[in-house]
Amino acid sequence: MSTKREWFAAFRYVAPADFEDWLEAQAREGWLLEHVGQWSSILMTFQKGEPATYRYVIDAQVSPRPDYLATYQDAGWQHLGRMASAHVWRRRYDDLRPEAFTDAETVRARSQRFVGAVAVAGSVLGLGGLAMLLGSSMADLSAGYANQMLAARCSLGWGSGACSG
Amino acid sequence: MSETMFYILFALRTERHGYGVMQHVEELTEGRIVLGAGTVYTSLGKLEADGLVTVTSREDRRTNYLITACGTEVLRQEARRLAELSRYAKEIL
Repeated sequence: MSTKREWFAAFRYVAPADFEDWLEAQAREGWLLEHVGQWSSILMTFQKGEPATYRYVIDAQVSPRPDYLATYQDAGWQHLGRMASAHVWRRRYDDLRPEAFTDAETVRARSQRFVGAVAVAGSVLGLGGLAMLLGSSMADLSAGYANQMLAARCSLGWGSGACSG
Repeated sequence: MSETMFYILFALRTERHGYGVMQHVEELTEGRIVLGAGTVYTSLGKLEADGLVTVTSREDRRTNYLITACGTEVLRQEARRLAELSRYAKEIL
């Protein structure tokens, strides 16, 4: 079965509806998102299959109540998993496109939660990258300093075995 | 009060879980209002936090909710407002 991978897919969209539309377009071309894991916002894997019409829904819930999954599943939604706090749901449809959020107030609240989740994940990712960059630079500086010290010791004739050769 | 909140409170005059609320409201409005799972879940959380509904029991993975005395009073006030609106609306029909 062929697969394709998409890097940083969750960070390309500010509005959850745009991200959901993109996932739906992928499914219509036969690229199906079957499972979502903790790191899927960074690297998302799609399986090649029959083109299908799925409604995807992203819902960020940091600490969902015990009935969260049942409320969606009873209504026919399939839980694909969660990436950080963002739960990903899908539901197959033929005519009427199903909606998980059906009034203005909860649509707005959902968008705010999604933007918050993406901002937190982006910040963690950015800080992690910065820490790695700084760590790498510090290691380079330390190595350079050590080399300079060794060269100085050798030129002053203090060297031992390390200066020979 | 939004139409969604009104119907959720109205449905919870009888103990129901989230999906039960969705089914009841759809039946009550003859399919005019189909509440989404995310909307019902979010609204129940808000109504519970505001003390308008309470958790009565948990069975399997589902949670049952019921309107509180405070929720009933808020629902009555909204019903009075809607009745007044309806009375004046009839005058122009």
